[in-house]
Amino acid sequence: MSEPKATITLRSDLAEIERLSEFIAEFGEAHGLSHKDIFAFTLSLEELVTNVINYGYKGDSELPIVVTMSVHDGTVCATLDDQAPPFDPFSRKEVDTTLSVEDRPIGGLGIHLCKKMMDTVAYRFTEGHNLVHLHRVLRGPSAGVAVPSGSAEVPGDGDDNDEP
Amino acid sequence: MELSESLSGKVLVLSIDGKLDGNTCPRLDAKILELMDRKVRSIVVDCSRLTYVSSAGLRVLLQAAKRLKAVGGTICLSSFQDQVREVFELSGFEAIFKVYDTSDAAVAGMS
Repeated sequence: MSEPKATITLRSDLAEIERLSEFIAEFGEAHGLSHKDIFAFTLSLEELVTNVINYGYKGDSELPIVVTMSVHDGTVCATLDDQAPPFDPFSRKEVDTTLSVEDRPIGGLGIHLCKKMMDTVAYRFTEGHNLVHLHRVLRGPSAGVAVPSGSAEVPGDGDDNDEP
Repeated sequence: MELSESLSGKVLVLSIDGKLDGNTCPRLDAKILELMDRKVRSIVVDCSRLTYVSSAGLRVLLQAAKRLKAVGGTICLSSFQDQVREVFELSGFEAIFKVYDTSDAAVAGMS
């Protein structure tokens, strides 16, 4: 039997992205996630971890980034835990995706994609740790149509009551 | 991630095989600059074997579009896989890049 929960500890190094991606793929395969779901978590977690390494730890930290994934009742939860200075990645203003090539800023897309691909995102800072929670209701391989975020049944939605 | 190129008339077709993420995108950026140094002004990025793209990869493509536009060139994309297409749609990049079903159609559209 595979465990319903898995954790990986990453160093503050962009080369760790590959190990993160393998971890998500293994978790996904062990729990029968579709390619679409694995893709969504790979992209979202890569974006968040990259930001922690580049802007939170500024590249040179000995402190870890801990990513935990769990699956329960058709919803996958991922938690990202780092000890960089407090920063809410979801506090940035929305990206304007209608701008032309000349006016389009180069940054800000990663978090935008993460919010679009997840049904719920949440952030809190507690006891020196940034904690980011992502929830996504699983789409079957043939589900095809995205579930509107308002209809997602996510345990603990909005309460931030997940265990560390 | 592997890059390969072929010339079709004046249009250069650049194929990306694998993942375009924070680790691999500097190679695409360097390739685009090299092509521009070689005076290539029309580029089709063939995405038929592109399995993954993150915002770092999107940034390199947006940068390429800005650079080419500044010198009167163009860049377009072709042959998306489903998940990569979704990333482009969610990013609003379909308003910035012309996207074709096949690289042949892209070459015909640019010629």
